[in-house]
Amino acid sequence: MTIKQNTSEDNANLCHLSIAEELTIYVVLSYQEILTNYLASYDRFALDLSDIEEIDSAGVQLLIAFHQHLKKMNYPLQLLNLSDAVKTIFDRYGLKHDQFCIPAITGEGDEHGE
Amino acid sequence: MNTVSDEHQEGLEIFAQEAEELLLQAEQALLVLDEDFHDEDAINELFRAFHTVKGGAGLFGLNNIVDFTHHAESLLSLIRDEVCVLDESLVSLFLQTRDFLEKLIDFELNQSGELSEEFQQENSSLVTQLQKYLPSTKDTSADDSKETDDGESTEGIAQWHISLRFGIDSLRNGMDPNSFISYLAKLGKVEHIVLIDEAIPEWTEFDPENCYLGFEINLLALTSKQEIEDVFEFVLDDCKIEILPPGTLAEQYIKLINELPEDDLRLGEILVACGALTKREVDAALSPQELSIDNAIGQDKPTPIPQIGEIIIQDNLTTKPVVEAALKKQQRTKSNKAATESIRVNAEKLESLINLVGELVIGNANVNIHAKRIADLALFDAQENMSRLVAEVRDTVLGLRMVQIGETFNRYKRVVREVSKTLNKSIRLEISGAETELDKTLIDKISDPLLHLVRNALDHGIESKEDRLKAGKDETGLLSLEAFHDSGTIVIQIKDDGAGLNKDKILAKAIDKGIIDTEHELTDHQIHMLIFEAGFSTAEQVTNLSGRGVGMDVVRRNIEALRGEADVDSVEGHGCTFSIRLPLTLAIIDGFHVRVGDSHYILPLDMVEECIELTDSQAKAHQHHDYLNLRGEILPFMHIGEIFAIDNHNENCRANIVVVKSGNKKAGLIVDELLGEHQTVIKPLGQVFRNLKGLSGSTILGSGEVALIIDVPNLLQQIVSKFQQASNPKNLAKA
Repeated sequence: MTIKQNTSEDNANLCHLSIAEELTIYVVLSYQEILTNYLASYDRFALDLSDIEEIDSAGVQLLIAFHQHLKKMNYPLQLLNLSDAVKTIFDRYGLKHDQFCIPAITGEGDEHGE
Repeated sequence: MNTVSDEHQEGLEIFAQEAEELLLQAEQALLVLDEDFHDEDAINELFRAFHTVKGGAGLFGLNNIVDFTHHAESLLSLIRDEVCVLDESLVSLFLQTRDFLEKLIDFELNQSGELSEEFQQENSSLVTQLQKYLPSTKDTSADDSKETDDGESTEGIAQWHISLRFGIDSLRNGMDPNSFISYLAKLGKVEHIVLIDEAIPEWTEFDPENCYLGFEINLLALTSKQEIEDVFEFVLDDCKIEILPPGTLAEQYIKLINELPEDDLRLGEILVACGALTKREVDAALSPQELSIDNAIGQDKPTPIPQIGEIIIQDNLTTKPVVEAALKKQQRTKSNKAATESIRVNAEKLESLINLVGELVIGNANVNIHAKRIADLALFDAQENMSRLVAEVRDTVLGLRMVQIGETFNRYKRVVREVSKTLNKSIRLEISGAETELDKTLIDKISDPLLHLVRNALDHGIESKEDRLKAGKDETGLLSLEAFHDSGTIVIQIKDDGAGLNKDKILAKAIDKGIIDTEHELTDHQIHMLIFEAGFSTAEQVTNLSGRGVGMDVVRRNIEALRGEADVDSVEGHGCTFSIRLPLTLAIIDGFHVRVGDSHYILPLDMVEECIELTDSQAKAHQHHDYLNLRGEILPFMHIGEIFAIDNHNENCRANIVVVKSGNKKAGLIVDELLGEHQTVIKPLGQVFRNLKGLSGSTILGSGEVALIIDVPNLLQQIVSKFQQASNPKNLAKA
C-alpha cells in the first residue's frame, strides 16, 4: 500500500498521511477504504501529496469528496507539499488548494471554501 | 517522411484520399458561395472540409499543412459566426487557398525535404492575405481601406462558454476529463474554469470510480463550435455538453443555468465569476421566478410556476425563433450525416466480389443447362428461383460500383469559372442528369476526356462577348452538360451555343494535313468527325487552355478504349454538341444469345430492338442489296457470318434478323438461331485480339463454350457507313 501514516507526537488526533506515487482510477477504491478506516479513529487529517507522481481526475475527485465529507463533520483537512503533478491538475481545474475546494487548514475551523 | 512504417503509410494514404474528397467538397461549396455569399450550408461544408483536413494532418504531424490550414479555418469560423462577411475577393482567395492546400498535401505526402522557396512564398503570401481579415492583426491594417469590408470584426478574440457534465462511467472508460480539458486548452486560452463538485454524493455513498465531475469553462479562442465539440467527440454520447458561442445572449446563459441540475443561484454565481454574465443579469432573470413562487404561495390553488426559460421567451420573443432555428439546424446536420453514411471498402475486395459474382453467373448458367436436361419439375423450379436471385445479386453488386456523375460534372463548374475569367467571356454552365449513375472506373477514366471537351467548348466554342453580341446572341454563352441513359448505354453531352464548327476550315485543314485528299466527298457529319482524327487542331492560336498536346484524337481513343463512342454534331453559328456514349458497366450485362454456324455470339440485350424472321422469298428478293423495308423504314443489314467470315453458316436455313440500335443508328444482323436471354460476364479479349473491330469481349457459356460479345455500336458504324457509301448517288455515279 502506498499510503503511510506519519507519527506525530504533538498532535495526537492528527492523522498525517502521505500518498505515494500515484493517485489514479486504479487505486482510488483502496484509498477510499483506507481513508474510511482512519476516519473511525481520527478527526484531523493532513495529507502529504509531495510524492505523487501521477494523479488523474479520479484522484482529484477522491480528494474533493474526502474534503466535503470532513467539512460536513467539521473535521479539518490539510493538504501539504503539493507535487508538480498535483499542482498541474489543480491549476488545470482552477482549484486553488488554499482557497477553493480543498483549503489547506492552518488553524482549526477557518475553512469556508465556497 | 522517408522512413515511415507501413501502418503509418497506410494511414497517410487514407488521409490523402480523404483530403482529396474534402478539397473537392470545399471547391463545390466555394462555387455555391460564389453565387450566394450567405449560403450557410456551404459555409459549414467549407469549414468542415478545412477543419477535417487540418485534423487529419495534425494526426500525422504534417505541421506545414496544419499551420497553413489553421489560418483559413480561423477566418472561416469568423465568417460562419457572421463576424466577417464573404465577398467575391474572399471566395477567390479561398479558392486559391484550397488549390495551394492541394499542392501542399501532395508535396508533403509524395516528396520529402524542405518546401521550395517558391512554395514558401506562395504559402506566406496566402497567409498574409488571409490574416488581413483576421481581427488579431486588425490593428496593423486598421488604416487600410479594407476596413469597410469587415468593420464589425474588431471585437477581438471570441469568448466561448462551455458547460460540461461528464457521464458517470467516464473515468471507468478511461475518458479522463483532464485529457479533454488539456486538449481544449490547445484551441485557445482557458480563461476561467470552475470545477463543479455538487454531484459528488455522501462519503458513504461515494464510489470513487464513478465520475461526478462537471466544469464550467470560459475559453478564449478563434475557433468554431464544431471544433470545440470535436474535442469531446469520444464522450459526446454520455456527457452533457453545452457550448455557447461568443455573443450569446444573457438569456441563453440563464436558460443553461436552468437546465443544469445544480442549484441555480450557485451556477449563476459561477457564470458571473466566469465573466459570462453580470450579476445584474442573473438577478434579473432569477427574481421573477421567485416572485411567482411568492404569488403561488399567496394564492389558495397552486398555479404553475413558469420556468425561467419560459419567462425569458415571454420577455424576449426573439429568443424563441433563435432556439427553434438552432434546433432545426441541429436536426439538419444530423440528417445530413445519416444520408452520407457510408463504408469505405477496398476496391480490390469489391473487384474480387464482382469477379466471384461473374463466376456465379456462369456457374448458374451451367446448372441451368443440366436442369433442362434432367427435366425434373422441382429442380426446374428451384433453378428458376436461383437464377432470379443470382440476377438480383448481380445487379446489386454491380450497383455498388455505380456513382452519380454529378460529382464529376460539378468539378467543371470551377473550370468554367476560371476559364471564363481568364478569357473574359461570360459563360453559364447548366447541368442536367447529374443523378445518372455510371461505373466508378468509367467515371475516373472519362473525366479527363470530358475536361478536354469542356475546355474546348469554352475556349473555341463560345465566342467573346463582342462577337456574340455581333452575332445577335445573348452576351452570356451557355455550356450545358447532360447525362442520360439510352438503350443500355449512358450518354454524356457537352453542348455549347457558340460559333459551331466551320466546315470549310476543317476541310481545308484536313486536306492540308493530309488526313483526306481533295477527291473525298464527305457528308457534313463526316467532316465534323474529322476533328477526331490524329494530328488535327483547329485553334489558330494555341492558348494555354488547349494545345496541351492532348488532341481530340486522344479524347476519342480514350473513349473508345472504354468501349464507348464519341460523336459531334454542329450547326455553324449555333453551337456544337459533343456526345460520348459509354457502356453502363464493364463487367456483367444482360446479353442476347445467338448462334451463327458453330459460333455463339452475345448481343447486349439493351441494344436489341426486335427480332424478325427472314423468309426465303425475302432473302431472295434482297440478294442484291443489303437493306430491307422494315415498316416503311430502310433497314440496312448484314450477315454476321459474313462479317466474321464463318464458312459453315447455313445459307439455306431459315434465318433471323436481329434489329439492333445504338444512338440513332439501326441495322439488322442475320443470324442462324436465336437462343434467348443470357446473363453475360464480360471477359476481356486477349492482347492479340485487342484491336479487332466489332468485338468487345468474350464470355463463357453455361456449357463451357466461349461466345464472343459483339460490339454493336462499332458494327453498326461499319454497316451504316458501308450502306451510305453504297447508296450515295455520287458514288453510284462514279461506279
